Amino acid sequence: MEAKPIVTSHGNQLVFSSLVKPLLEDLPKEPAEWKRSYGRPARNVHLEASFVPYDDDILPDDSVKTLVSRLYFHVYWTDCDLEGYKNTVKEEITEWQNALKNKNIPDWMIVVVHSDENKMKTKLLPRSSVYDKIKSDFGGKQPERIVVLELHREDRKGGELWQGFLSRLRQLLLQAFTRHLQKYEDNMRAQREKRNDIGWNFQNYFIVQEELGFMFEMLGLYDDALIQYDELDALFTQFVVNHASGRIRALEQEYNENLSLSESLDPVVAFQLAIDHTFDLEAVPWLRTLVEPCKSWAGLCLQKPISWEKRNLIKDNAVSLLELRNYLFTRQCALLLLVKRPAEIVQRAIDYLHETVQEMKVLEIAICEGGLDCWVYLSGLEVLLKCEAHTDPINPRSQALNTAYLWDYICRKLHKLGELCGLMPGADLDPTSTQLDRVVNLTAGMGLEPSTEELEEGEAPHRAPSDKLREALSSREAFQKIYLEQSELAMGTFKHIGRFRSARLIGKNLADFYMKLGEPQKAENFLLDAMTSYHKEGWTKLRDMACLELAQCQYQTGIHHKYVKTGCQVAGSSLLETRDRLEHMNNVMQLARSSNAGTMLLKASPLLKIDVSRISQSKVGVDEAFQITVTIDNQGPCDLTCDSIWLTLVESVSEFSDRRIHKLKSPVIRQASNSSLDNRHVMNLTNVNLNKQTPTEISLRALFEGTLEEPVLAGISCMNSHELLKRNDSSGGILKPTDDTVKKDVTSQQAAVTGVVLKQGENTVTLNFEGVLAGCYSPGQVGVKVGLLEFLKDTNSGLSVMVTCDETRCEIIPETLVAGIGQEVTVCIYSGNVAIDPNSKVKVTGSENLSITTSSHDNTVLLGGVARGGQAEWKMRVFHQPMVTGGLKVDDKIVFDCSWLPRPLIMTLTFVNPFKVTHRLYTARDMKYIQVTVHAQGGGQFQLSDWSLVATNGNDLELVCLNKPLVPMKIVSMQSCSFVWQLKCNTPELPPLDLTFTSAYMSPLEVPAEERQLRYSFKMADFQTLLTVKADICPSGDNKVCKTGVVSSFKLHVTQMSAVKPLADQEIMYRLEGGPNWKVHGKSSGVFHLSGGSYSHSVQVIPLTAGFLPLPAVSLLKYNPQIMKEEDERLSSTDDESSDTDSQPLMSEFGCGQVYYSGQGKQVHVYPVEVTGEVEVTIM
Amino acid sequence: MAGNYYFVIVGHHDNPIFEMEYFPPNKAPDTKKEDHRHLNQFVAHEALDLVDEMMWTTPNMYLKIVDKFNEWFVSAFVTAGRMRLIMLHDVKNEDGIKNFFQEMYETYIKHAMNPFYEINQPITSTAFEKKAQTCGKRHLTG
Repeated sequence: MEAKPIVTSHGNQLVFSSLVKPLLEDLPKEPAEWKRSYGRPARNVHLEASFVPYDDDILPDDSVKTLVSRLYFHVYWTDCDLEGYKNTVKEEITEWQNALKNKNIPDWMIVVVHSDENKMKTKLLPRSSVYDKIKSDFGGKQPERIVVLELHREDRKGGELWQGFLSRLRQLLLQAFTRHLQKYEDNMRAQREKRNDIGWNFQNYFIVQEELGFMFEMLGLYDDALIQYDELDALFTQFVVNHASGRIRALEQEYNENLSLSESLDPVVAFQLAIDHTFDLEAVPWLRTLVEPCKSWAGLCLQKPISWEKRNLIKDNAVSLLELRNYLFTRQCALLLLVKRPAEIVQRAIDYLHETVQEMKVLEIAICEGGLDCWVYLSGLEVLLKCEAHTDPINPRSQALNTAYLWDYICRKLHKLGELCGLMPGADLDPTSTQLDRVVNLTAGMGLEPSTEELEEGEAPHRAPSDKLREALSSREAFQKIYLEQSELAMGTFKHIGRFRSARLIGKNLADFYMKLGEPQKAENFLLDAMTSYHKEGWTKLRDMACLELAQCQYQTGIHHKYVKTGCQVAGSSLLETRDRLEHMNNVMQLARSSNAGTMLLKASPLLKIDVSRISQSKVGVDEAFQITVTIDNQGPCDLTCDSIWLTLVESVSEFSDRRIHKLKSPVIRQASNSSLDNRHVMNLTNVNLNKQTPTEISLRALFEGTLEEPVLAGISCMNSHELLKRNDSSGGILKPTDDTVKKDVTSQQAAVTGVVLKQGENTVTLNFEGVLAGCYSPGQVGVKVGLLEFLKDTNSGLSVMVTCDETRCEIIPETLVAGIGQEVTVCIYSGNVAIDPNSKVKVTGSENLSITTSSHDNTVLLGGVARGGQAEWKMRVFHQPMVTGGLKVDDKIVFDCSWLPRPLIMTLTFVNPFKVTHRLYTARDMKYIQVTVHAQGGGQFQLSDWSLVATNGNDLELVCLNKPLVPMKIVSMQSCSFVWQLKCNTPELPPLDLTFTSAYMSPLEVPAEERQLRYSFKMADFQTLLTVKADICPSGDNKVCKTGVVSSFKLHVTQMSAVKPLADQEIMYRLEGGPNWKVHGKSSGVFHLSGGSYSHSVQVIPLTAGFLPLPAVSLLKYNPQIMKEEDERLSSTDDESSDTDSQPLMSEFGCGQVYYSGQGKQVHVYPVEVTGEVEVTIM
Repeated sequence: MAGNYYFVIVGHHDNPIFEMEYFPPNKAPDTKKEDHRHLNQFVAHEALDLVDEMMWTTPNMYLKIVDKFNEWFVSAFVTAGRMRLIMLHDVKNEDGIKNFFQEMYETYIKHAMNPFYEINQPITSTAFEKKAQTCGKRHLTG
């Protein structure tokens, strides 16, 4: 808007015209600071002015309430000399001043121009120039209003004067503005205060405040101008809201109750109220025009910053709501562009369109159907076109968002218009005449475009929105083209900024459109996309709606395998209407029965909910049958006839290995005890973890303020918090896409039923399994076949069935037996998976030591028939020979030769050996005793009786039993019992004896009790006593006491038994061993001959310890030097082997009992030595 | 201030967990209510993006009007636990909605305290429903 403050010029116009050019140029060059009232911030203003010649008539009155066209300032120019001044100028100025004073105008200025050099020079007296004269005449209290200029001077002084003039002018101008504005604003405020008075007129006020806006705009204070418009906007909005919500109605009510009002009203209105008891709209006359039925819905026009036409209409109270709004917004846009905030336009446009539509509704303004949509479309498009060029450098994303939103908004409006005017594709009929009529009406209401001439030059005339809309409304094709184009644009922008939900919604609308257009293949993806996103986020209703549309779409596309899936989903949805569900169900069934399509595999859910509920047995034999019950919940809208239903069995690993695998997979993890620690409950955490591209590291930095001694603040700050907290766009759902492919299980064993009708709701189907191979199975896949469709469901019921294949086996009870007694055992034959025919035979055979007695004489058992899995048993007796010298247990085998089996069954039996018998010889000089010991090793209690020891070859031998005769002995496990016999004989030399110990034994375990014989044979030879050895210690000390460390003599005396033949030729060796107690002093061994029947020898020994000590051990050995000599000779001939042979003389021991050591057990008392002084004991 | 309102609580997985509609007392719900309702859902669902964006820009829980769709306004309230309370309304009623949200928030907290209620699961409690109904009557349609 090209308005400038107007200044009048009076006086010498020649002077003025010579100065006006530099003046206009120089005035705005420097800013002037404008201090404003009401504490508003000071502004720097670049002032401009336009000059008009002065005339008395154009001087404004105080009553004139204008701002822009007001004459703000008055300048009088003169270059007269003194003469001229006195003659004419003074008078003129006086007149001028009076005129100004009459109008109460204090804003004036007199400029005295000294153009003549000469005159200046002639100026001799002070206070005699024209300037001085004027100053004294008119200056009065305001000498600064008189300015002198010296144009002829090119020097500094001239320039200074000029600048001084300019700044003075600016200052005074601003003063004038301030004065006027203050007055104006006061007036305006007063008007605004009256806004609740009946009869107040918004339009008038609008013009007033707008004037202020103009003023600010004129001064270049666009921000302030914008504020004026925003205030007006808010005020108007408030009015509409108040009107709608009924302040007026409240007044009406008050009047009707009291028949008087607390506030004074416009007489006309009061009259009406009295007559009609209602205000109607007359109460707010200014609203009357606004709410008149709307005939024109011309859109916003942003081509020009201001439309004077509209402004005049507003002035005349003849504007419609839409026009008023349009005008207001146009002005706001213009100012926003001036303050370089174009991005705000789109944002405001959204609110503006939205609120205006709301206002139209609230005020119940009649408008032709579609008119408002037209208006929104036109206005929105105009804004979009205008803002295309302006991008927001600060926040492009938010601008993009707003733009997208606006595109979306106008698209929806276009869509609605298309519906109204019958332009949507798909309808078979051409638009009806009503619709055509409507098009004409709407087109007419759009109003005329501002003709191109009106446009400012240089601006390329772009295609106006109304042209576009007209084109769109002209034909279906054009409409489609434009609608699709704009929808894609909106969707693209939404996608670009990551607003996928919005994009999907548009996509869904587009899909609708494509469907109507008959291009379902284009619609499919949009619908699929929308459906998946709704599904992921759990908006089931929306998902099912989208699903329904998708089903329709896919049905039209004719892609059967996709359709059946969606169709089933629709049919299974409980949220949709039964009609739709039935329709799709029928379609699906039709497809299923049609011949041309191939087999289609589908997931059973959501149409059929399948679960394995029961397995009849948990364990069956191989050729047994078992049943599995399957529950099928038919969610469809009708009954479903199935060709077949089958169930596969999957061989599962056994429970044990399953558990092990499980163990391997998940080690024991500590469970948080508090469920609130669960991820899902923590804000945003799931999203962060699952979807978002989180930064690879979180960089933290320590924060520290203040000194170490006095910290002000310490903490940790995250450097990349913006990345971490980045909002998660709706692009990705929480759920990962699952693998949708369905695979039919064909490998496993299966069972099926055919021709089942699945009723709506829950059905139970029982499947019979037969002839399943051995193994452990769990139910695998359930399939329902309907025509070509197969609904599959992989079950995971946790149930399982064990199919076993048992062979015939045998068992003997008890497993552990005792040898030596006859015991009865029970033999069980388990038939397993074979039935045993009657008259089958089992031949039982034992081993050599094991005798078996069955009921039949040849140990063949005849079995009656045994069913599968049954068992047969019989009893038999077994007896195993006890092994008197053997170990603890004996294993033996029994062979069962079954007539119906190819191989005999072999069973192992374990017997406990009850006894172990040992013998021992005891000697006392020449008397001999034999001890036989029976050790019980287990097998319970035994009773021994009638024992005897018999020598088979001892003729003149007498064995005298030393035990109590005839008293039976009882032994139990781990006990032993001994029997001793004295051996008496007269012959000095006995031949080797064969002895046999026998005893009868009985066990209470054996029923019936039977006495059995225990037999133990052993040999004895060379046991008669030949030599008697006596040993003694003779202390050498005075008092015949042995002392440690003192040498004693050890006396050895060997005597030959008289009854035995002399051993004269036998060399005998003795050997002495001191052990730990004695030290043998001298030779510890020696060889001697028993030439005289006896031999004595003494050896020196030293006791090492004190106490009662056993004597040193002495032993006699046979010494055979002859053998050694022979050996030597043999060796000498073969020298080379001499080293290998030991040179030790060959010695042989006497037989057990041949030597009787009588000194054994003898002890000698050794006293410790009393230590007096130093004693050195040397032991060599 | 009577208008139509549609209220929904949205859980952490963007899933609706509670829905309710409010009509002015004198106006019976439209016959095409069902259709209407799913449209409301569409709008509320779409607004989630805006809510997610807006909640970072203000420390307040009540986000005021976050979106407009045709003639509908969308107001939102985000709880401390990031449950989103979303309201579709066709008349402006800032304070009423604010109070409504505040009260519903408290009701929700009480409900969430129930150890048998699992967060993010649809709310089926009749007591909660009744409370929502009276709350709506008090602040919105009443």
